[in-house]
Formats: sequence, C-alpha cells, structure tokens
Amino acid sequence: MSNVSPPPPPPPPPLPGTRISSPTPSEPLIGAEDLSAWPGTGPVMVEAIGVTKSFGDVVAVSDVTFQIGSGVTAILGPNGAGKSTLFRMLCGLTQPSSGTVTMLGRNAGADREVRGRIGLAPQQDALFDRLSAGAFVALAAQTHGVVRAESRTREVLAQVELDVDDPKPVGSFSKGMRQRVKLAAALVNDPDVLVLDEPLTGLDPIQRQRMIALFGELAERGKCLLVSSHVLDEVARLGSNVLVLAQGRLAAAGDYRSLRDLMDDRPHRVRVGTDRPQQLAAALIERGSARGVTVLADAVIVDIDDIDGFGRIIAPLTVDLGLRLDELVPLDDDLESVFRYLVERRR
Amino acid sequence: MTAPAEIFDRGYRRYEGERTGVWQAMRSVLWHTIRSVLGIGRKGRHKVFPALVALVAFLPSIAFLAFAVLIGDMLSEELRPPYWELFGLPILVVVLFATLVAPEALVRDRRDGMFRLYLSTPLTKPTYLLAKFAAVMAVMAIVVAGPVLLLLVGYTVQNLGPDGFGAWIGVLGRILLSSVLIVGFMAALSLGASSLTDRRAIASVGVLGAVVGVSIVVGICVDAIGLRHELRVLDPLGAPVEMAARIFGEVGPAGESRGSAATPTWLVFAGVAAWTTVWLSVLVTRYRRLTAV
Repeated sequence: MSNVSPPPPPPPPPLPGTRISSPTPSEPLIGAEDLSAWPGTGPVMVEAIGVTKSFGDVVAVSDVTFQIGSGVTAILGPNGAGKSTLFRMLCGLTQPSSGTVTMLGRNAGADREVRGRIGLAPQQDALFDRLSAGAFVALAAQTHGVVRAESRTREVLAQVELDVDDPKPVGSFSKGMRQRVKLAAALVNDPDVLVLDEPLTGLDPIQRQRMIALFGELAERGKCLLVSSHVLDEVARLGSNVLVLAQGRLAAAGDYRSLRDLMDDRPHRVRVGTDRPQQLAAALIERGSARGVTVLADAVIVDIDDIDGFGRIIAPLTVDLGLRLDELVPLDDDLESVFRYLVERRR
Repeated sequence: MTAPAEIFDRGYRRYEGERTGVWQAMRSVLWHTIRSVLGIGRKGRHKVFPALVALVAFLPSIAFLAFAVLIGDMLSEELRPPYWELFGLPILVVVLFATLVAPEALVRDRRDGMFRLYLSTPLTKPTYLLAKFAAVMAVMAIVVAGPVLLLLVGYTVQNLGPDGFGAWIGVLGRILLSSVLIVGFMAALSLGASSLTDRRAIASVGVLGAVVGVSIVVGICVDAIGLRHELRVLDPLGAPVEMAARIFGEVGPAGESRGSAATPTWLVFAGVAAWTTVWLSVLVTRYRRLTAV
C-alpha cells in the first residue's frame, strides 16, 4: 500500500452563506446564516437566540442560536460540550445568562402551561428506584395533571412494552428497562416537545429498533424530539437533522449530509474499486484529478476536492485506460465523519 | 373457521383527557413524600424506624392514660399533666423524627434527579417547596399532635376531660394551634438545615445540630455565663414548648426565672417566629439559587 500526496491545490471559493473556510472562535462554523432555512417544516417549536450560560468563569454554552420544528433533531457533542446545559435551559430548569430560549413560543422557565407540554427523559436513571414502573409513571402523570392517570400510565407503559402490574421496583430493572420506564414517564402527558437525553443507551438491538420506530411515529405526528446521543450510528438512523455543539458553541446545524457538502476545505474520500489500481492512481495524479491517492490491492482511495467533477470524469477515465470499474464508494459522508471533522477542528 | 379479526391501532395513542392544574401536582408530591417518609408501599424494614419513633412519642400519653384507667376518678387534677406538657415530654423524639423526615423529603429528590423531573412539570420551585413543607408538617404532626390528642380523647372517655363541650372545644383548639405552630417551626428548621447539603446523613446531623447544638449553646449562655434568661426564647428545644404553655395560659420552664419576672409571652412567640423565619429564608434562598442539575 502506498500513499501519494501531491501539493494541495488552492482552496475553492467558499459557498455562498457559509463561513466554513475561516472559522473564528466567536462564529459558528456552519449554518448560522441559514437558520431561517432550517430544514424542519411547520412552525418553529424550539428556539434559542444568542444563548449563553456561564457558571462563574466557566462558559458552558456560548452564543448559541438555532430554531427547530417538528421531527427528530439530534444534539451531538463530546462530553462537556454543553448539551446537558442546553437541555436544562430548553426545559426551563435554568435560565440563560444572556439570550432567549423559547419552547412553543414561550419561556418554559416562567410558563407552567408550556412545561405541561414538555416530556423530559433525563440521562440519570436513579430516580425512584423504590417504586414500581407503574407507580413511577403514575406519579409523573399526576404531577403533569393528567386526570386519567391510571389508564394513561397503562397506555404508555404498553407503548414501551412494560407491564403496569409488575410489582418489581425500578431499581431492580435492567438498564434497558429503566430507559423504557423513563421514556414512558416522558410520554405520559402526551407532550408536544420531547427532550430525551441518551434514550437508546442500554437497549438491546430489538428494543432500540422499536424505540427508533416509535420516535419516527411521534415525529410524524408533529412532535418535536430533541435527542442527545453519543452513538452516531444511532443518530443517523433517527434522522438527519443535527445540532453539533463543541466547547459550548454551535459548530453546525442542519442535515448532516448537507453539512458534509459544506465542508469545502476538507477533501472528500472515495474508494474506487478497479482491477488495476496502480494504473488508475497514476492517471489521477497525472491529470490533477486527486489531492491524494492510496493504492490498495483491488482499489484506490482517492482524496478529492470536487466530488461532483470526480463523478463525471472517473467513468470516461477508466474507459480510456481500459480498466474495469468495480465500485465507487464515498467513505466520509457519514455522520461520524461529519461529527469528527466539526469537533476536531474546534480543538 | 376462525372469527374475523382486525387490528385497529397499535401505534402511539394521544392523551385527549382533561388536565388539572398545579394543585393536583402539589397534592401528588405531598402524598408521595408522606408515603416515602413513612415507608408506605415499601418493605417492612422501611417502616420500622418511623413506627418505633412514633411509638416512643406516644409512650408518655399511653402511660398517663393507663394510669387514668387504673386509678380512674381517684386521679386528681393535680396529678394529671397539663396538655401542653405533652408537647415537651417527647420533644427529643420529635427532633429525632425531624432528622429522619426532612432529609428523606428533600435531599433524595436532589440526589436522584427527581427534582429536575418535578420542575419539568407544571410545578415551580415555590409550589414544590410548599408541597414538601406540607408533607413534612403532616408527618411531624403524627408525633407532635398525636400524643396530646390521644390524651384528650382518653381523658374524655374516662370522664377526666375538660368540663363541658365549650371547654373541650377550647382545649382542642389550643392543642391544634400549638401543634400547627410547633410543627411549622420544626418543619422550617429541619427543611432549612436539610437544604444545605445533598447528603442525607449530613442533613440529619445538621438538623440535630440546629436544634440540640443551639439549645446547648443557649443553655450555656444563660446558666453558665449568666446572660439574661429571656435568651431562652432562642432555645429550639424549649421555646416551642414554652409557646404551647403560653397558648394554654400558663408559664413553662423556659419562661420561668428565679427572682425575676417571667419572659413576656410576645417575646416567646417572637423567638419561635424568628427561628422559623431564619430557616425558611435559608430554605428559600438555597432553592432560589439551586439549579436543577
């Protein structure tokens, strides 16, 4: 295997409406100018404008602005990025040091009615370990003022496939079962906005699949779901809308596939399967069609700036060279790649 | 041949029913806190300590009643303790109960994340604290008002109670008023002290220190150093009982002084009110600053 890296060409001009090429610590990387064009449809359900939260000298969230409509939106970020602080501000549990946060058009911290339309599933799972699942969810229903607390408790526990009559305390449940109890408690008041902190952690693959399907169904019914997760593969299955936080700042917002397209200072990486990889690699370098190539036994890994242009030239090129073109696979347009790029450039 | 069947809806079901206001939420927190403190709905071992403390608190009343049953009419009024004294006899047990109740009611929610969940509902910090305060008062009333009420009822059954319906109602009213004030004082003190820490054991020690520790300091100031006896109105153990004595029109041990006039009644009430205000302020200030982490 060999790696050839010619001098990089000058960076292409930035796309209109992005500042990705010259990030400064005080500016979001992507999407800040396009907030009005947030991909969510329908009315804005959650909005943060210039939100900053400080704890003494520590700035946990800094000048964050975004709007979210119905559907699933994943909030991503490494530990300490400010996700939990942002969640707390959204739910009205703490007020921002500056800026405004509104949920359904109002300040959740000051508006009781709005809090009645929020469902929160926190990451912590100690909660009332001594209560049964039924008792815990019924308590959540009562504090939300649900009149038919008992029947509603039965409904939502059935939704997450738990038995309301199971007398075992939640403390004796597995991690996955506790997650489902928390989710049931968050759903018990039929909220318009669901704030779910790591909701899929601990679930087995089948349960995870069912939860993702349930989230999809809730989103289809017009609910807004804010989901934080460390498992990027899960987030990609939940939906494509993401908010990426890094060091308390909003690093990106929007569809992660579109975000990848906006990363024009970073070459795309494509795997080109062929029967003669060395010949193809040499031709690509000679024509200036690649920033770098890595030759494998049956393929060439190509770093390119212009993914669309490469798509246009690769097929004619292989025909001209008399090579067989086996596959053309993008290697870095997944969420993990986008996330790593956005977070690492902040460090 | 099987009967025809149809699945109508296996998906998410909306809640279309009525929603009540914050009172329902407060009632729910209150009732849940009472259950939690008394171990209701939990294994037997969780009920042992509250039951034991309650039993000890009732012991003086039970002893006096047993005496009344055995001797009957021969038990003269002078041999019967005034009702207000029944607030003082088990006072240490009441304090012990407070060290259990308030930390359980308040600290656990902060430690296990329920405080955050409560505040994401229509509850606010003030309504949450009000519900907790009411719950602690309700539980404390068992050991504060319970023994005195038992004595009143027992004496009445034995024909040793107050003479006439009017007098009986008067005594009942004084018992209830004394109970509410003492329980309110204890609830403010124990919740205020418990709000300062996230560890239940430390909270219990804090409550004990705020009552017994301050009581010892006041005792030293008056008895050893020789400061004015009116300072006893700041004794968290003596002042509430003295207040009950004044409600019954008498002077208790904390208000007496050899060679000088009894402490004025207003000063006794002011002492209790001052401590109640101080600890309520601690509680409110602490929770105002508290972030639901």
